[in-house]
Amino acid sequence: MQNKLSGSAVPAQATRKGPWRKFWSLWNEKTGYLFVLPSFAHLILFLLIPLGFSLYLSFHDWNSPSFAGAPFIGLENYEFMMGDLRFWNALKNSALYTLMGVPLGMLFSLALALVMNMGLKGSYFFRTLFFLPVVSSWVAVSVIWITLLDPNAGIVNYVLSLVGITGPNWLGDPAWAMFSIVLVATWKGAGFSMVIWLAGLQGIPKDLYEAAAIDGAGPWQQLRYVTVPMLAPTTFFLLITGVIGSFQVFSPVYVMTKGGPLDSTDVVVFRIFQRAFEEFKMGYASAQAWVLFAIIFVLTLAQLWYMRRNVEKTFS
Amino acid sequence: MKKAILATAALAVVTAAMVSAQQARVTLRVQGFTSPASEIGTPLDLAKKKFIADAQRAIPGLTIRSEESPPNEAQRLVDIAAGTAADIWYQDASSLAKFAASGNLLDMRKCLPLVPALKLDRFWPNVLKIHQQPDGAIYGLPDGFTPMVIYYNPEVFAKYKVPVPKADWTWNDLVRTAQLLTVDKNGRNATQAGFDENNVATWGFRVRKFPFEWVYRLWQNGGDVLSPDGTTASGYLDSPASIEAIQFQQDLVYKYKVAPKPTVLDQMVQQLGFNDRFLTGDFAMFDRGHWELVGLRASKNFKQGRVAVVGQPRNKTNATVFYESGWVINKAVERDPAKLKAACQLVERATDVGYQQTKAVTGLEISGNRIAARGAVAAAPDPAVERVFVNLATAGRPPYGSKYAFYPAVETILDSMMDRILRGAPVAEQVRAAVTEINREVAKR
Amino acid sequence: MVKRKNPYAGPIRILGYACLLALALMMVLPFVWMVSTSLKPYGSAFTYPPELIPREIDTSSYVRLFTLAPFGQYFINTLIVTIATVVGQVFISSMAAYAFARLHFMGRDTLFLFYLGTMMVPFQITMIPLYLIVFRLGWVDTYWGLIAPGLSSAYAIFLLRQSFLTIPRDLQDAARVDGANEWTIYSRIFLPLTGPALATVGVFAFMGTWTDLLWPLLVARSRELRTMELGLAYFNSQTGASAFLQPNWPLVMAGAVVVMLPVLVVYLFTQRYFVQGIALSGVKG
Repeated sequence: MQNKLSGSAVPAQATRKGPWRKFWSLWNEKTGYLFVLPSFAHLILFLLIPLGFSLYLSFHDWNSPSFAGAPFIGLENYEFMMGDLRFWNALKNSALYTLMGVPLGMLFSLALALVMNMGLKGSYFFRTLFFLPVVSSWVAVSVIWITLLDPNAGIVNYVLSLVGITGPNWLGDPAWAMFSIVLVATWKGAGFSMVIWLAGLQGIPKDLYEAAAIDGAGPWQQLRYVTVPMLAPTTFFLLITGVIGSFQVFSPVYVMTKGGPLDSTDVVVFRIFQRAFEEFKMGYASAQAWVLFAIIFVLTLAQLWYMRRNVEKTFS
Repeated sequence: MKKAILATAALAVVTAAMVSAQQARVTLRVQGFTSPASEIGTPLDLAKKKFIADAQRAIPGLTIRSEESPPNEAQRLVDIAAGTAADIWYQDASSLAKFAASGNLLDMRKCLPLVPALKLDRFWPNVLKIHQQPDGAIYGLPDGFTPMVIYYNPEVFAKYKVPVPKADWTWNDLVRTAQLLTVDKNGRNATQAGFDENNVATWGFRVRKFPFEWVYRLWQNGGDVLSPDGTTASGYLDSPASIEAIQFQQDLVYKYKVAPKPTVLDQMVQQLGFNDRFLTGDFAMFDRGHWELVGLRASKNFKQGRVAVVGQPRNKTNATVFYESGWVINKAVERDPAKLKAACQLVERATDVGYQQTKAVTGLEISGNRIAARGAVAAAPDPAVERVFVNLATAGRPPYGSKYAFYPAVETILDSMMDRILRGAPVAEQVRAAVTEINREVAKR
Repeated sequence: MVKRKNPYAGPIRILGYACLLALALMMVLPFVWMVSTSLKPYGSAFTYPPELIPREIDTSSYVRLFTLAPFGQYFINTLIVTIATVVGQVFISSMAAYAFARLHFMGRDTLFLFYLGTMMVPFQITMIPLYLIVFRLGWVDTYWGLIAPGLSSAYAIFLLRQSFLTIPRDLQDAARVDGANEWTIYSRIFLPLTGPALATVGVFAFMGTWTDLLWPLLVARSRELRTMELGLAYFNSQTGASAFLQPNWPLVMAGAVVVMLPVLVVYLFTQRYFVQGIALSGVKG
């Protein structure tokens, strides 16, 4: 459909009203749907239908891996969950992992980004290095860290012993196992978050720093009063995605500790996996997965709401 | 009249010939006859391949597709849900009940009329029991099994001049023997004053949290985990007999000091595998099954005379468990009579003396076929050891996983419970908590 | 990139370098260890004190890896699946992202939030129903079955939408005024301008698909169809970490190195775009 206006860049919607505008928005609408169609079709087939099925399952006692006769039991799975201490322990562990891992990860990667931002020579090379863990497979990484964290022959404890500290039994001590997983996950994800921080850092206008310097602020104060506040949007992005990701942690637990020792690293997704694939309790596992989803959802909404109220005010 | 009879007979013969010539072409998907990459070309691998080739020739119209078993059960589970599971597969007894309860396994009794050669008395009765359900149905047939025994290192015994265990030894014997063999770096054993438990050179025994290594201890004291119908643990796991047995396990570590604490054990094993430690004399005895012989023999520390086995000690009764794997047939097979017959024939051949004897040579387990098991003794690398195992083949109980479909959940609870107890938690309290949790789990059924 | 004067003076610079070195060491040490262990002979992976440089170099693990399992075939399979997924994801997601960013239609924002919500679903719960669907489609044990579920990603749409939002509206309106239809605008203007973001999506898709284990485990049944990560899992369960012997650490590490290398190579070449792309999306939050 050709509609030539004489070379001006004025948007069509602003100058034409009435039937033309209606046509244009209808056309737009149809195109919009068409563009979204492939991914939406994909979404329905490969995500929504399985999701719906899992919701359906959560109201049934699907104990046998065949469809025949899965009895409807309503909310029984959810009721059982309330008294399932193991599940609550897993929730606690996932929450602990998130509380430890997200701030640690963000701070560590921020430190990396700050150092990288100093514009030192060879930053490009270092950035590659920091990204290596991010692009490796979880299985490979977990296996490597098992050997590194060995209490007697692992490098970590060896290095600690050189400075006179006897390292703990990282993966075998219930008090340290969760922290070990956090450590490995932080190491693996730091490079990625670092790049995001860097982008945020480089988006801060230089004049703010100059103004602060003129007011007599040293590098430390500049960091506190200029950098940190201006990084708020980035902080929230990393926080939200960090929380979502942390509650879904599975691979390192599966390969390194299998939920032990003493159930100290038994996280929710691991619990779900066990229930589903080792105990054949599909319905119950689905119910647990939905509870997890609900928790993540609520947390995300809460963060978004907080961000909207406090951060956007400063930036709008 | 004669002509009529002759004609009918001729017709019958011709019909029969035509029918058998048109034997339906049957394809069976089978899992359990492939070998891992590193074992290709070994005698066992060749035996498996020969089995498949022979079976295809012997059973008319049959094509066998031999597939690799999935690396974990997730895949098999999904297959069953989708209806794409193999026709025959190799099933571990410890998860047999799960699959049986799903209604996907064939009752092997259906094979008996079809394949007269398949006689159930070829199997060890107690091993066959593993596959039998209370209602008489038989899900799968035994292939190979092992009782849990106690391995000991005769060299260590000789070193400390302790007599080796005898077949009908008791818990007290175990304790006493282990104490004499738990020696610290100063040469003092666990019965002597001044014994330093933090500086042990040789340990008499090993105790771990895994239920598969200690449930039979409860049985040896007359206790049990669950009621026979599987509806409760109250009165069973928390019975005095059971608690006493669990306490015994803890005592081995803390009271008699003959087994290392879990953290110490973990560290010891990380550096040098347990087998190597056992062979070099760091441990005198431990619980395990026949399969351990493979690892022990493969170790560079292996020497003839370092490995011997004896049956479990008894307290109130003599008891051990059988861990076993067998052949199961997918229930869907019965929809096609030709397929059903072929599958039954295949399983009959797999559990027959011929194939079983070739398998026994690998030393992984004892054959479920009595004749094959006895015949393998003479050919075994260590006939004395083999004989002990075979003698125990008549007295053993099925594992819980072959009886209770919900056992994995219970096992997780038992695992956690023993984990805490071996780290020093008070037994009564832990057992109480475990019973409450188990009751909740089983009540759902 | 505009070069700016470095405001950091002497001592802070040195501290900065020291930090950089220390951090780099922390990041890289595990990889050095991995390669070094893969070159050790069986049984000597654990020594005290731990050896970073193996005393004797033994490449037999790599040889075993390639002769015992068709890792070459696994490589080709993974390549096919990954490239198809990458191409598919880039196009399908960018189309959807364009719609969410620049087109108006009823329910647009709700739909977008819906997509965001799907990012919060762990794979384990949709795994079995998803398999059943793929099975009904007849795609089990086919390349399609391996590729299909990864063709669209909510995360990619999110990322690309952020990137599209930064392109000035005027460009779009000018094109409209000149009579271009949406497809032309999308393909001729937006796509080229968001090269870095697209590369990001591409590399993410590459990483995710290359190292995926759970899905190929269910879908790839015949040995010939296995991906590298899956092949490694089968390999480990039978030889590297078998139930009877102690794990063959050098073999396990050799497998890990072999699986990781292609991803690394891809990353090295596309790094620049990758980093720019994340930056463009991350800042907005």
